[in-house]
Amino acid sequence: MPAENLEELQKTHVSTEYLDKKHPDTANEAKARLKKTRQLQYTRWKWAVDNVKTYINVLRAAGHPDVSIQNMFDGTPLCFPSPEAYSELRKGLKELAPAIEKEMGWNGCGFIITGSSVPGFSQNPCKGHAVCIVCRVPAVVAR
Amino acid sequence: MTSELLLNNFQELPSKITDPAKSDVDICIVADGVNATVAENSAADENAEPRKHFPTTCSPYLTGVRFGCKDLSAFCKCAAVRDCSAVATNLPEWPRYANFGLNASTPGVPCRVEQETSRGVAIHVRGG
Repeated sequence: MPAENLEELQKTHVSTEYLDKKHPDTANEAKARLKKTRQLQYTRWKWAVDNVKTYINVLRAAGHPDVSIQNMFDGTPLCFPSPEAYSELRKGLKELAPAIEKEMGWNGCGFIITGSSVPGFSQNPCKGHAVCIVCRVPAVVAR
Repeated sequence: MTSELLLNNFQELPSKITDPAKSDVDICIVADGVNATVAENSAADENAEPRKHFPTTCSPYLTGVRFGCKDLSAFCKCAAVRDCSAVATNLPEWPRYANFGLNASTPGVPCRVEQETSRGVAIHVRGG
């Protein structure tokens, strides 16, 4: 993808905005989003699944190299430098599980890796575009 | 994707892309008995850990809750996790990162808050 296209994608699809539910300027929007947290989690996920090609370019626009993106699709979270490093962690966790079971009195201990490095984006409803990405109108107005 | 969709549903787009420099993952511990432990702790003290509950996705049609601890050692019986090597001796590299939220340079002192869990405790990990 041409660099200028990535720059445009970066402007329209990538955001570091955070809606603070305690800040007067963002509280209403933040609370509205928090009421539908689960819905937003799934709609964000569905968008990524339904728009994989665009999403890959969004990840590129956010600064992720192709090898990391491919690794992510193959199961290695983006924050790991290599599949080998991730595999090393998984091995360690496998050995740790029985120790946790014994210490805590639990059974069937397993691990789930979560966080934005797994799918590449945040599921936190308060993170992400706070304004309309088309007209740049504040979200509370756009709605 | 139409402009109308963008106008109405921009919050539904995954626009907060993970930061290449400082993003991480949460390791959720899933086990039978965690809910009971949480219930026991809460019954004994309403301010007991875990204090946070996070909605989370489990499958395409199932959501769940992750418990989050501000102080993992306050939740665990095994405060001895302050010395990770005592729990898992075969973790030569990862105690630096996956040290149960305890700062390796100051053993016994909780250092991170963002731990989240699924039916249990968790470790905050950076792979880089």
